[in-house]
Amino acid sequence: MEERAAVSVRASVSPYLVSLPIDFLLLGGGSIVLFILLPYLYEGPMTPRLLTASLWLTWLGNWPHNAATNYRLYSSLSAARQYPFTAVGVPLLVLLGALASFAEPERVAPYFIKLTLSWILYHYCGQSIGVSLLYARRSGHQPSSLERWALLSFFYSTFFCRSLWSETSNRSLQYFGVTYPRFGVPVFFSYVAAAWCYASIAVFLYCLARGCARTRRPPPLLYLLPGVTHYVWFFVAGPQDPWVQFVPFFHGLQYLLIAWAMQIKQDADRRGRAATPWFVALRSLRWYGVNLAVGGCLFWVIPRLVTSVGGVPLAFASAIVFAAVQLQHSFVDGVIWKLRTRSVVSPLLVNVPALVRADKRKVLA
Amino acid sequence: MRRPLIIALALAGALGNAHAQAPAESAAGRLVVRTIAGDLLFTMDDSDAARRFRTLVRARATGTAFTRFDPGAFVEWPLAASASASAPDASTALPTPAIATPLQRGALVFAPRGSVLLLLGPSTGQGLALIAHLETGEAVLDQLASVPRDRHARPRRALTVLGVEWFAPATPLADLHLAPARRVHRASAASVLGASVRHGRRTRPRDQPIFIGVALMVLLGALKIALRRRLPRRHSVSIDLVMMTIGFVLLLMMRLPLGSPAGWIGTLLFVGLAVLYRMLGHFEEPAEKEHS
Repeated sequence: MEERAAVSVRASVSPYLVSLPIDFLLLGGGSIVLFILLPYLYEGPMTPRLLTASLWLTWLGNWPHNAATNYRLYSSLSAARQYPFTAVGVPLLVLLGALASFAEPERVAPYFIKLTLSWILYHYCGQSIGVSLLYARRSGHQPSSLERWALLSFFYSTFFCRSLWSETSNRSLQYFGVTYPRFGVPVFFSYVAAAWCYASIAVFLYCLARGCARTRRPPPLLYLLPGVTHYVWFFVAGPQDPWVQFVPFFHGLQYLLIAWAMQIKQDADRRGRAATPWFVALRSLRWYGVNLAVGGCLFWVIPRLVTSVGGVPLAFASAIVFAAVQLQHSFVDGVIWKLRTRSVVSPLLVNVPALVRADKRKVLA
Repeated sequence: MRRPLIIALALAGALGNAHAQAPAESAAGRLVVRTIAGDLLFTMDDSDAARRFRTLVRARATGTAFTRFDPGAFVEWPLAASASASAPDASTALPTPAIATPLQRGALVFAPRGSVLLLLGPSTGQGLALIAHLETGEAVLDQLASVPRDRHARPRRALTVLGVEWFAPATPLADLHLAPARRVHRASAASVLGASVRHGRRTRPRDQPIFIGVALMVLLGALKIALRRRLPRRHSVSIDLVMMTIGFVLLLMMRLPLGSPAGWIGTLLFVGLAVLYRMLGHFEEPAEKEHS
């Protein structure tokens, strides 16, 4: 029965949001390719070319992805009304935290930053889980409960591994020059987390192989890709300073693909207009342009505004504003992208080229 | 045996308050480092300093103020400090990364990574350049040195730098408002910070942010009780999660001091943070009809 249901889902839904190569590159394949090439570009721990490139890519990928969250929440009154607490209460709460950090740079700011930066890693895991399960659904792959559990366990164990590598020291960390504490967890726990991670991988692969043997179908590539990408980000790039600078960009890219497809589908549905190639191109450009501008405003303009108005050093203003924006993003993302919500999943089963083709046929008819 | 000299001073870069009296050309000037144990007055000489620091000095000379933003900076120096160093020796710039001799007591050192000024020992292996020597504040150094150390020779409490200010060379001493040396009590960090003088005014009590946070939690709790009949369950849960988040940050502030080993409490807090993130996944769940 389950298999029949899976096959019917597979028959009606394309496995890709756009196409295999594009989905593959944007969902993390691009990052894997880059991390294969990076050793050839590497000139030492602070390779200027890499740092410059990662800085520009932040403008193009990571900042717009933060803005895209706000676009989705605030672009229409109905979206904001759907989550009133998140739309109104969370910004107020984050603003309060930021103001307290500015007022108490020694006593509040380090902990405000700690809360945010630790959450970012967890947030990365949440996104990868969502993308993985979305593509499982699109491919008609129905993971068994043990396989699903092992997949989630793997993603969360990477959070523990990566965090614990950093948290086993008592020496403080720095974010834009602001010192913030580490937990000083005994090193032993990082070994436990690593063992947990590899055990999860083993269980997952076993369940996957068993399921594939039963259905006589190969495992869906894009279902596995977020996990592989995540491993590369956290275990291959993670310990290397110049490499890790690229991870937020690729995380943003992954997010932007999903958010863009959803936006196009919702725009087409809402307007009741045919999704012609022009419509898709113009809506896409508008959507990305707005997110690019809002991202620049959030991360570039606001810190400078705080500096000039409040007389706060730019580095400190950047630290607090960046932390505040990312904290709000983590809060909002966890609310608006719940895959068990019908209004979220349904548009995400779209295939954009098929949407255009289908609407073309509708127009011709 | 001389212990390595370690001082970490964090300074921010540029702040755009123009000062009409600032000299137009690059000038040595004085640097006042205000610490919880009193103020240190350094005489700067940028003639041989690292290029990056000269840029900072010039930025200040053209009307930019240095402002502290690193709250957990350590201030340390060798337990057996050398008294033989003369001021000119100490202010001589050493080319990076070679440091031939151990640094002298009261030397201010620039580390080339980031916009942070560090007073570090040669054992750290980082490229350092001396930029200034201590003019006044030997007693402050003594007070800072008297703080108990752990087995790694790290002070058992954060020796915080409250602020760093640049003054023109001709500024009279009286105008610098130097705070005299005061004892740094390990057990009463709050009282030391609470009573510290910054720019001639008293700072706020250390516990004030905790009180405000607790008040906010109480306020949210009261709001939840007052609206309990009208509040949907998903919003009621969200208020609980906000209170938990605030409470957890307060717990971090109380139990995870900067620069001090947290031990098992740190481990528990880390686990608690992971649980909090997991619970925040239930923040403002979609309305019931939305579930698929």
